[in-house]
Amino acid sequence: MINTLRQKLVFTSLCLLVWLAFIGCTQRETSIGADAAGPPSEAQFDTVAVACTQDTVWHPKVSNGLGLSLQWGDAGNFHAVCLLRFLPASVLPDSFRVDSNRLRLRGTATLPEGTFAPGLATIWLITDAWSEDTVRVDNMPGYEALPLMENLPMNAEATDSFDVHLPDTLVERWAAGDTMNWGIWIEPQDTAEFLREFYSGESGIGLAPALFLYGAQYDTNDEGQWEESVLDTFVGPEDDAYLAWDRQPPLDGRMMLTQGLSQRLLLYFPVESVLPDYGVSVVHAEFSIWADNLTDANFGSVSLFKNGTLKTDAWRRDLDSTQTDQISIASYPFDANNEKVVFDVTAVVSDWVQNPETNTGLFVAASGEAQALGRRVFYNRLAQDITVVPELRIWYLAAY
Amino acid sequence: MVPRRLLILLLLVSPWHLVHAGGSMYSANGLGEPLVVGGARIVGLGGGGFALADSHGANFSNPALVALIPRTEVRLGGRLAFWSTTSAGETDADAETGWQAFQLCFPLTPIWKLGLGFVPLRRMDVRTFEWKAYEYQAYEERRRFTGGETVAQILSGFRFSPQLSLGVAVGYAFRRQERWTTIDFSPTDWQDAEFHFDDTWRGWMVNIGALVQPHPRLSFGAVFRPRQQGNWVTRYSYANQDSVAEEEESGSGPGMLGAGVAWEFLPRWMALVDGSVGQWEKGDLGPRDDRTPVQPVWFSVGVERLARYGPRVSTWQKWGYRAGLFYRQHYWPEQNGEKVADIGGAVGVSIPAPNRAGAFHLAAEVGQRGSESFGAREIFTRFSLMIEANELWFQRPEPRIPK
Repeated sequence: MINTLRQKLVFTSLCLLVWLAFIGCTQRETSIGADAAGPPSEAQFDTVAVACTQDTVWHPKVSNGLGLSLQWGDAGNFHAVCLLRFLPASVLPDSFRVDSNRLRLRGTATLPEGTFAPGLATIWLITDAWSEDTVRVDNMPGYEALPLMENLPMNAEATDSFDVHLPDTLVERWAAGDTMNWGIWIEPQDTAEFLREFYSGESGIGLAPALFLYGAQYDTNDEGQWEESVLDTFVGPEDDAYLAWDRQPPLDGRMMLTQGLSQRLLLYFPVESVLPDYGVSVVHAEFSIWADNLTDANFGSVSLFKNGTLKTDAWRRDLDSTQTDQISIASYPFDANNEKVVFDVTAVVSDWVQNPETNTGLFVAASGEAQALGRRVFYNRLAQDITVVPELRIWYLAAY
Repeated sequence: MVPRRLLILLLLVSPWHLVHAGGSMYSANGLGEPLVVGGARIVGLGGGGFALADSHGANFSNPALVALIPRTEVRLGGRLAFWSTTSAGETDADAETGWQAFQLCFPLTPIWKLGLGFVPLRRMDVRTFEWKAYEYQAYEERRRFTGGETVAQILSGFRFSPQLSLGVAVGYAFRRQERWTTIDFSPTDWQDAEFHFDDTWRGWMVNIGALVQPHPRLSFGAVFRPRQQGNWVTRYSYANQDSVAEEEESGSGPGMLGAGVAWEFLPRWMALVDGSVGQWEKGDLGPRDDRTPVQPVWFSVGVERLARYGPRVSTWQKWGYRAGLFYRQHYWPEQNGEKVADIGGAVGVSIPAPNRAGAFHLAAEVGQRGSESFGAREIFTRFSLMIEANELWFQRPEPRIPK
């Protein structure tokens, strides 16, 4: 019971305490009045353009054997040959007779477009082991001194197939399971002035190169007697790849990126020397390279590019150390005018700012690096027009 | 009996410390929102009282008034404020609590009285947020401001004659303004950044006061606070850095000159007029704030019916009643050519404790601050409570000796 004045005072005080605790927790829940609160925000946005201080072209030692196309021909200072290896024994029965054969490569494109004059091809018998996973120009297999076949017509129509009847003795040897079967090398003769693109073995049945076999096969019937039936089958390639050589001379103030040959661009931007050394948070970062659309060195259709960074900056001292030392990020196309490629590198640059030692540089490669041959020329840091040199632009947040 | 009384005091004081929320949006400018110094009685009179020549809840920002206390006295105070903020036609509300005074005064000799106290001069505790966009991304900017200014001071009041009292207060002032700015990008988290600044100022503060009473019913009071010198220490961390940097630099603090007159125009009816001006200079807002402060001008008028005591006096006559009007132009920098000012009114009441052991002073203020063109218009309603206990609370009862 509350009777005395003191008890009333205590009770009233407790009620007041509860009331204050309740209403004192009222919080403003909108941004109303934010303009009146305090001095201007310490957080200020700023933009800085970082110039490239080092760039180079990088030829990583990778094979295009797992790509979706095979290349053959001579054009745009490229020279390309196809390598094919079939193991027909894997699809043949125990007893058979091969009477004839046909090698077919299905065409998908021809460069330059509009080429109609056919070319000629030569086939060589490969004498060394190779694999589509690893074959490159620098470790290419050897072939016999004399060609297996010469003056084979190669049509320039994009979708025409390349059909050829291989020597029966060769195919019979392959069918018998010849352990020295390293396949064939199909090379353009001097008359070819175009590049043919064929579907590769990774393109799926119906499009992939095929070796068709015709003849007879033998099996026992229900009565235990040998019975002959028609052999009409095909086998896809066990290994297929193409090798290409880029004979394009270097151009001053330019750097060339190729598709099919895996020729990449490496660039270094000294971010840590441009941004404040404390208290920076990267909001957005863009890396831009400008293409030289006026040079004849551009070839093919290379319009999608991927950027990445490297695990170490050893490439700045020893280019060969960059082999497989990369982290791919994302792909970006040309801008609407086909003049510039802009890469969003916000996450990478943010990491560089937080940990400057992780700034190992950027690389740019064609997204379809193992696809059809192509070349794009970009301005490098030595270009005379400074408005088109590679640039890293950073939007950042800093305190004043 | 004493522990129970102290328990009651603690219960009354505790909520002011337990509950914190947000206050005036303007308080985040500079050093915080200037508080009315002197307690709830002064709040009820509109904020003046430099010449209030009695000991009952007097304004000790004029140290000469300490000379008038007849006995030991302790003060505890707190306040609760509601803010209704309007901008662009929208309104939102917030509330805050805070302490107002902790002061102990006692006589050393009949003419020399001493006071010890912790007095909050300014306070800020505001959180805001705003959605913004920067070229590529939208982000929420959250800002939080806390801090204020408290002075620990020793007051000496000398009553040289019934007509003249002089006083001096020497205090050590602590200012702190802590600001967090968080940039929260959407939808990514790894880009978010937080900036933290913690500015602390320490320096000496001196108040020199005088009270002149040419007539028992008329008094004039004045107080002067010279500009202060001290040191700012800034600790800050930027963006997502783990390290904290620290800088120290000398700084200055604002001065103040205030004066008032109190006139007992009828028996037990007082009228007061008070005014003060500040002396602020560029750099007083903080070590990195280069804005130019406004010279603050406060003006108030008040009227009070004093309490009356005696055996044949009713309970209501024992209460004191007061009301006041105020205009307060603050030191916050101009924006859009405007200065921030408060205009409003206040009422208050003093309720004596049993056995004249002290008093409860209550006050309420209602006013308007700022304008929408400045950034926000605020309607504030503030309640103040001060407990004033005299030395009866600190006397040990004589043990009763059984016969």
